[in-house]
Amino acid sequence: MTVEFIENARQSYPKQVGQFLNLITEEKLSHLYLLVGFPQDLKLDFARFLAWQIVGNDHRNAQRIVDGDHPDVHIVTPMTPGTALKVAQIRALTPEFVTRATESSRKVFVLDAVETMTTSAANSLLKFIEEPAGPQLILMLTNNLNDVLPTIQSRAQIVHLQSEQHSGLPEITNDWLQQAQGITFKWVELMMQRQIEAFAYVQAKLLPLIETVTQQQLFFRWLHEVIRDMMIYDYISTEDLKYPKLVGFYKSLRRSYTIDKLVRVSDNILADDKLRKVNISLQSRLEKIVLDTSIILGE
Amino acid sequence: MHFSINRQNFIKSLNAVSRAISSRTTIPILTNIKIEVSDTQLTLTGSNADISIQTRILDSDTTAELIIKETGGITLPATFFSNIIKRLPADTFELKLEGLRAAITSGASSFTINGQDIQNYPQLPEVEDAESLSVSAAQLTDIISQTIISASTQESRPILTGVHFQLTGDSVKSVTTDSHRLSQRIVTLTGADAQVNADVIVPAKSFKELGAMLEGQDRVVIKLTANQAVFDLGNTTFYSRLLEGNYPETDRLIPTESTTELMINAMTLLGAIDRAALLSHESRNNVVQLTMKDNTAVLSGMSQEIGQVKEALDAKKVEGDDLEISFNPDYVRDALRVFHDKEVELQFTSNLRPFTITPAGETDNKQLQLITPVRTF
Repeated sequence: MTVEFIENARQSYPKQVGQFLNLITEEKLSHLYLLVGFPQDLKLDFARFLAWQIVGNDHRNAQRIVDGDHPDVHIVTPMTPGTALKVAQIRALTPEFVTRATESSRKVFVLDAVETMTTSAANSLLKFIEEPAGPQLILMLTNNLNDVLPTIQSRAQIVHLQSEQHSGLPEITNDWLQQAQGITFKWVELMMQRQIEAFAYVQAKLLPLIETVTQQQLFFRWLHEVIRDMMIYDYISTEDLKYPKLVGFYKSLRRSYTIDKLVRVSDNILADDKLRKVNISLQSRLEKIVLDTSIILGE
Repeated sequence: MHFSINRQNFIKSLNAVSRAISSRTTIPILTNIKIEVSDTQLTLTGSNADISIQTRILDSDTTAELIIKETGGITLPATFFSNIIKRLPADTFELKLEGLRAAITSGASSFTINGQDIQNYPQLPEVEDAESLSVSAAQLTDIISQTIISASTQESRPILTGVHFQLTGDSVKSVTTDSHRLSQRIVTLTGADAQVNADVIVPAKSFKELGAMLEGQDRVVIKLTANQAVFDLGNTTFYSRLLEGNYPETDRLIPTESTTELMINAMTLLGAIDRAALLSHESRNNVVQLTMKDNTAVLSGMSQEIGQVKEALDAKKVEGDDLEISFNPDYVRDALRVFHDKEVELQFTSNLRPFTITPAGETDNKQLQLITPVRTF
């Protein structure tokens, strides 16, 4: 029987695996890491991999980590994908935070989708994060750093995990990826050129493509990356850009608008994280982005 | 694994182990019971992560009628397994493994149930080489019942939900406090040659479970390892995991001198406090007042709405400065209960400093209950 998470972690994040293995051998591991990136399940595999390194990397432990049977590794994920981490789930961990490890020298806690935690759940955690009772490693996983409570962010070491693998989810096919990315870029282009067509484009082209939560997350990731590139393309080398093929587009924008306006456009797009939390539909949010961008650029 | 055994005898062991098994656990495999057979004995293990209970049945035990045909082990769903065993028709039953399935036959009835690999079950610590100390079950029961009352039940300071359990040389010291009161019990072992030094914090909940298992036992061997406290009761072994952290230094909280002393029978005082508490429980701040003046002691309680109570205490001795002190009657009641019908001595310094309750005539703080008064002005 092979244990998948080991291979997944090694292949998806070779660089980070190496770094963390070094930290473990040098005993320089911090007690709290916030792992940020996409996709969810590969990140979870990476966390499992770290846990496995800490409690003893033999086959028996690997199998027990997968089954959730290891007494010193506690992995908490939302009950059903896409829902929130419940306060009850965090409370159930409380006795684990204050007791000694059973078999290994260090306990490992993995909390998936921490951005979905309610404030009360997060607060009940803060105490244990601040003053760990003993040797512990807490790994928190999130897709979007901005959604994580600042009180947690400030206490954690933040590690960005970015993998190009898309984990074989049925809705993320190669065809979809190509088509959706192209349409996303086109939409950004129309919007930045203040074409009124961009508004209709949301309903006509974007929405039919973005159906699931994962697809939505990918879309926003691309959007954020394009904006990031647009702001900094002339400060960093071309290899460090996410989409070097769009440099022409970035340059044209810089010719038309002042940097100040572009900064405000980027702020406006990032502000969408807040709207998402209050359950405004995707269509309204995207249309708002188009209108606001157009107003900012037109001033 | 293949064995046959007397059913009633097996059920007894099964019940002992089942105490530890809970259906609500974060580790799925802990809803299972672990069954392991070696050349000479059968071992059952149950656990809820906090405590683990392991019990052994030897093949030399004539009442168990254990016949081992093949060694091995498996974990089986505990509830199903024990329900099946309890309802089997014959006096003995046979269990045989086929891969990860257990075939259970008894008389004309046969079951096959799916199990899980024994490898996935948490490993209990090896304690063969750990230093150990043997105490009588009665002494341990005493220690548990006298200290468990002051353990905190609030999760806000997790460390105080534990019992600070120390082995030093030939004595066992157990301390609990919830920051309002403190209980301490020290037992010196006579004739113990082992010199063990260990210091752990055992969750009070585990201690309570252990107390319930001590009935009818003779001696208990205590072994403290880095991760677990182990109590060996002969054929049954009780494991408790430990709380992480440092227990507050409690010795300096215990006052060394006193200015006012009250000697009284514990039951007498308990009765008076019970009566005063009837009213204090109705008032907003649950407080009764003890007034010591001119060698008499008066206990009083009042509730704004209902009324008041006053009772002159039938004390053996009231000595020292005059004092008026208020306290929570429930704390004092819990503390007095552990002294049963003995004479106790209450020692006070001032109405804002903690006071102690000890058996009359003892000055070594081996049995001590300490209570913090309530400020009422």
